[in-house]
Amino acid sequence: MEQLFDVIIIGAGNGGLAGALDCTCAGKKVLLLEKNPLPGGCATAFCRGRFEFEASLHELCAMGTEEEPKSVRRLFADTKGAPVFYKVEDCFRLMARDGEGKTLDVTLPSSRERIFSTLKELARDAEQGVQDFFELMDECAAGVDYVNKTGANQNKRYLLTHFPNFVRCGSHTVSEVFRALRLPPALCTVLGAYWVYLGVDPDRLSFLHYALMARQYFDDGSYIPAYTSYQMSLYLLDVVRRQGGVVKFNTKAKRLLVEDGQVRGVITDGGTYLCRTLISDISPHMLFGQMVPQNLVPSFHKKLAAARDGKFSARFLVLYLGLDAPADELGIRDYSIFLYSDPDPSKVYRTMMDQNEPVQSAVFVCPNVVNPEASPEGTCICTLTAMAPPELFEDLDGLAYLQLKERIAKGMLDLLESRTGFRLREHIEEYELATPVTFARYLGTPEGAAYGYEAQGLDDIVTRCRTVGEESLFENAWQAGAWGEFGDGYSSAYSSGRAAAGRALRYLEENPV
Amino acid sequence: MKKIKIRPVWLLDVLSFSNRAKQRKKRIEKTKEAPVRADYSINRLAGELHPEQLCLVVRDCVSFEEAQGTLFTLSRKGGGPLPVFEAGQYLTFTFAIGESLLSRSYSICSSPREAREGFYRIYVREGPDSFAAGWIRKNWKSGAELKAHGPNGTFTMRPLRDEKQILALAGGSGITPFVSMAKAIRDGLADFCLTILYGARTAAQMPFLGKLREISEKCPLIRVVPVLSDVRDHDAPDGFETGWIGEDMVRKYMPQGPFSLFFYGPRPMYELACQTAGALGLKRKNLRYESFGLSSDDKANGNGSCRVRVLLPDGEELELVAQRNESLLVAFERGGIAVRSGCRSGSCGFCRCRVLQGEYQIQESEKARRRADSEHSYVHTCVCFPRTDLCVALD
Repeated sequence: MEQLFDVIIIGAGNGGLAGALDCTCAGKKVLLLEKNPLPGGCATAFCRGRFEFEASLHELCAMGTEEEPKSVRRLFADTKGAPVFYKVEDCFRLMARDGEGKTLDVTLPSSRERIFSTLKELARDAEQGVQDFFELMDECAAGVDYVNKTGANQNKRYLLTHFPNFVRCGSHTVSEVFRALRLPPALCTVLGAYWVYLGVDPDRLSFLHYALMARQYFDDGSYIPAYTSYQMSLYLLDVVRRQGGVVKFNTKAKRLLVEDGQVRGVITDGGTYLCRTLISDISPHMLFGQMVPQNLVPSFHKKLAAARDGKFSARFLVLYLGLDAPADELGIRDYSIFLYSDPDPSKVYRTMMDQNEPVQSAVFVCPNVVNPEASPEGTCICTLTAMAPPELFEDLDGLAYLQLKERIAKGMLDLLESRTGFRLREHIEEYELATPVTFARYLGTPEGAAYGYEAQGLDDIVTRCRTVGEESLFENAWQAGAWGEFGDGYSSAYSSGRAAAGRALRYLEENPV
Repeated sequence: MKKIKIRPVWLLDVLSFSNRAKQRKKRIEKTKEAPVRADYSINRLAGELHPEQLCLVVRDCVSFEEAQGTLFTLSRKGGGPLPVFEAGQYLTFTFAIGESLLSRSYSICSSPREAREGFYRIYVREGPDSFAAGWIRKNWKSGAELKAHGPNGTFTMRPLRDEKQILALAGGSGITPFVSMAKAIRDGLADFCLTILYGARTAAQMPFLGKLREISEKCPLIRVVPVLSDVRDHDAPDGFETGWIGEDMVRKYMPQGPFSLFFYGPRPMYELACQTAGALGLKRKNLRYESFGLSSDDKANGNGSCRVRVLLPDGEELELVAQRNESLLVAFERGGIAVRSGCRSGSCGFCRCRVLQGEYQIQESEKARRRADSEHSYVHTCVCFPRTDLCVALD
């Protein structure tokens, strides 16, 4: 007789772990399935020689302070084994080259006052624009809050009178709103640079999405854990287990048992488990494409998958460097540097996605600048992240792929050294390059996409948040993680996991055995 | 705050804002239903390079009696190209001997190009106490079917890190990854100078010498120097060095200019290689070694045995007796518990488990454990030695 669980969760990534946390906390019988031997999905680490590399995390938002914790810090509230977090003081340093070989070099601090003074220095006539920009972001946050609270019952008149600019900007892109605010070009460059963390360039990115994410990043800054994001994953796993959750690693979900539009169970290579509800922390494309016979996939989701037309969000190249000298000796003073090939962030995106262009823009991170425990004494770790056009990796044979990897790694190192002036080459003790193929291997996402669906057009985040209630995967199954309604990022994946858990718990309450 | 105007008629904005959800629905409704696509070229490549498991067939085996080794040629069951690899990587085989479930890793000694042509070669040498290798040599015959994982491993030449000149120190069967590297250079897949000091007791215990000499004659980037430890100087044939591969020998053959020292061989040789690297003032990054085989027992941990209670993933439980001077992994294997392993030196992480109770020691020389794993008592069982009775859980 197969075991019956209240909730089965497929995938122990950020969304799956956060979902499991809430479901076990509510006393439900939970089974968390993970194909890899480790929890975390993207939130993981790997060792090479004496280095332990953070696989993906650049900046953790929605943390608040110890005194006033926000949503992400509250997940780690249980003191037993909770990670130590280090504050990242600056948002980023931006080095954007223009066509004449000059470089705009600005360090954007965190906190509103400091950003104000930095931006005023950058463009003297910018004061009003910057003020409007922040007020608009505040109004957007308040407006979204109101819409979320009221759901379908929102009062249109109230919306229009209290959040008129929010409503006016709600269907426009970042670039359109920047133009309407008459922000000077240098400010569009600096404020627009943040787009990389959302995977969509300002010409297509919804301003609302940008405002919600950038606002807390600009105001509060961000954090990183002492022992990489894997420490966060293990912590959440530990709490899930202490709350009675059953977790199975090395267990790949192969098929869903579907009956009358409901998921009844999951067939894995280690046996079959029955469930009353399901949370999926893997991509809908793989769930519906591999784990369910096509005649049992809800018509809506077949149409949705077709309408999405393979528009997955960012696929990454990450160069991990373990260096045998400390950061300050190498002249590294910044936690993160955005190295852009153009002052126009949207052009940066288009160049990145052009398979005929070598990597020209990337984000540099050196965790040692804020985390003294990032690597052994006398060493430091640096990573360089760029977006990759997926075409680059299509129809390659294995040998060609291995050679392409080395070419890309060299190109990225050249870029880093030439733009920053750092001399790193002779200090490389360990390095690895992750490509979309690497992400596809470990995450199993289509084309190795790491940010879910591209958050624009059909999949604009604000729209998705409004429709998610009617778009469950099956009657009793919901999406978590970067493929969920909030899109990519640690805080977003945690949030969608918890939202999915909320839906599962509601369903269980409304449908008692 | 002032009104932000984006369109001249701002009512349009209001309309398009409130209609977004409706528009999304409409667009989805209008789309033609199609099967959901789950097959992507990038995922296919990932699967080809890193299959969950490889089913291999022994195509050919050649025994070298004096060297006590066998060279196996393996192809894919059913034929076809095999996953390519980086020269220096290894395969991990899982098999049962009686009640024991074992896994052993062997470096691939063929060229990456030959993987695409459909075969790998590995060389299995029987040491004085290598239970598994002896069994393999007896039982893996032509046509035998094998289960393997991989290719895996980080003992490879990396152009951004390593110098363009590599001095390789190989002891006995430790020659295998360098044979693969030499072939990769020959096949134009790698571009560096490789000088190999190939040590063995006698010339008859160098099954790869002929092949390496043949390659180096055609390829000026490769040089091979055989070194015999059990032969006196005046008895040595022409072209052979004698003695141990230590600082003097390294100084004699080391390339001019910067070089990286690569090493694979038994533990005494490893210690000599480390001393040599120190004496030459090599930077840490320029000393690389393949560590598997370096740590299978730990005499320092004392004799005697401990009881280990093992909680299995399926909820079952069993109890084992583990020797204090043998790793937990060995105890698992003897107890017939299937644990996947790879490097057997604490770095790859496949063999991990969680210690719930009891004391243990991690072999100091080989530690590549994530710090959070240490916090949560996850250990790599291949370098973990029990000190007291233990309770462990396998995920």
